[in-house]
This record gives sequence, structure tokens and C-alpha cells, in this order.
Amino acid sequence: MTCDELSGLMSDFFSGDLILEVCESIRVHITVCERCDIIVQSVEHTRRITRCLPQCSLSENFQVRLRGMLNSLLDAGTE
Amino acid sequence: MTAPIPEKITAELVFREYAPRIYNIARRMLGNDADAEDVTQDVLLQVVRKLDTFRGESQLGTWLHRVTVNAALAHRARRATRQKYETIEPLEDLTPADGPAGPVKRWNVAPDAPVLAAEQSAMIESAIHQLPEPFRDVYVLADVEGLPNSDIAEMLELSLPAVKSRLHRARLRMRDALAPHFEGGMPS
Repeated sequence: MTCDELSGLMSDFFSGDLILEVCESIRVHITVCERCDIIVQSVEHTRRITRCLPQCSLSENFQVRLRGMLNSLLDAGTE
Repeated sequence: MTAPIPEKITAELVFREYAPRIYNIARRMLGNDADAEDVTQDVLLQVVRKLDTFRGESQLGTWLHRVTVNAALAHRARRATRQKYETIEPLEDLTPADGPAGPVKRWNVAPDAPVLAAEQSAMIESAIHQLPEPFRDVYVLADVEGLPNSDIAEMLELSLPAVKSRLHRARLRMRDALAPHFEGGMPS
């Protein structure tokens, strides 16, 4: 496997969409290519920390507005 | 197993269960509070109108993602008619992106599950915000929301190879944006 081939397969690699033999070829390549090893590891870490992002917080004003809108909507629906 | 939707629908329940989910996607796709609030409000209206038509939480979750993405894209399109189009590089070239241009350094990161400090979260949010919109949409849906590529393709009306290509490019850009903070230094 070449560096370009690995780059083209990286999305499928992280999605788990590759067959075992191709994954093994990638693993073999990164044991001998430090640059690809670093890129794969750092992209993997980027994905992991992105998944740990906290939820965006809704402002107090917006929460009040939304609750008011929902109350009106649901009250109107039950009348 | 599909979790049921509560029979008694209250304003507080709709707010607590659905508003944060919608707002998160909209905020990260659109990049600002005001637009995300507009979209959240629009989508919650739809939720209230349609909630009793869903058979379970799983079906609702899929619908909620789709409606929120559609609302965010529509909002962005309306905004774009009022503003000058953002200049982005051509995206139709679906050949794999090259990696980083210069030399790369190993990241000094802990192998266990990361716990993000507020400063690191802000740094990642900022890097996401810097992505061109078509890359940002795919990245938010795939790597923040954890949706499968096939669902993203359907929501964004893209081919699967286009989703994969954009996602790959987005990840490389995110990697490059975060690299200065992780190369060398203390494990984080």
C-alpha cells in the first residue's frame, strides 16, 4: 500500500467499512511509514476529542422564550 | 428495542428532550446563536405538531436529525440570498485529499478517553467553525453527532463518495487546525 492509497481509504478505515485484509495492509503500512502513522493517529485523536464536546448551551433568554412558545402551542392544542 | 414516546406531552418535556438536540446541530452547522435559535424554534414547532405520529424514540430521532438539517440548510440558503456568497474552494473533485503539506510531528496525547477542559472545547468548536460550510456540515453530522455516512448522504442529498471525500478533507483540516496544540507539549 502507498501513502496515497492509504489517504484514499482513511474515511472508510475510520468508519469500519474496510475488509480485514485492507485494514491489515493499512496497519502494515503505518508500521513502516512514520508520516502516515502520525496522520492516522492524530486524525483518530481529533475524532475522539470531537465526540467528547459538551452540548452547546442555550441562553437563559432563549430558554424562557422557547418555554413560552411551547406552553402557548400546547395550551392552544388542548383547548 | 424502541423507547416509547411519553403519552402526556408537556411543554417542559418537549423543551427538555428535544430543544438541546436540535440546537446543538443547528449551532454547529450555522456557527452562531441567533440562527441556531431561529432553527430550533422552527423545528420545535414541527415537533409539537408531529409528535403523536411517531411510534418510538428511534423513529423520532432519525426524523429530528433530518428536519433539523433541512431547516438549517434552508436557513443558510435564505441568509445567503441576503449576503454575498462565501468563497469556497471547489468541492466537486472527489479524488482523495492529500495529507498535510509540511512535516508532521507526533501528537503528545494520553491514550485513554479524553476529558476536555473548557479551553480545549472552545478550540475544537472554533476549528469546526472555521471549516467551509460543506465540510462543516458533514463533519458535524459524522464526527459530532455520530451519524452513519449513508444517513448523511441522504440528508444532504449527496452521493456516498462525496460524503466520504468531504469528511476526509474536513478531518484533515481539523487535524491541521488542532496540530499546533497537540504536537509536543504535555499529554492532554
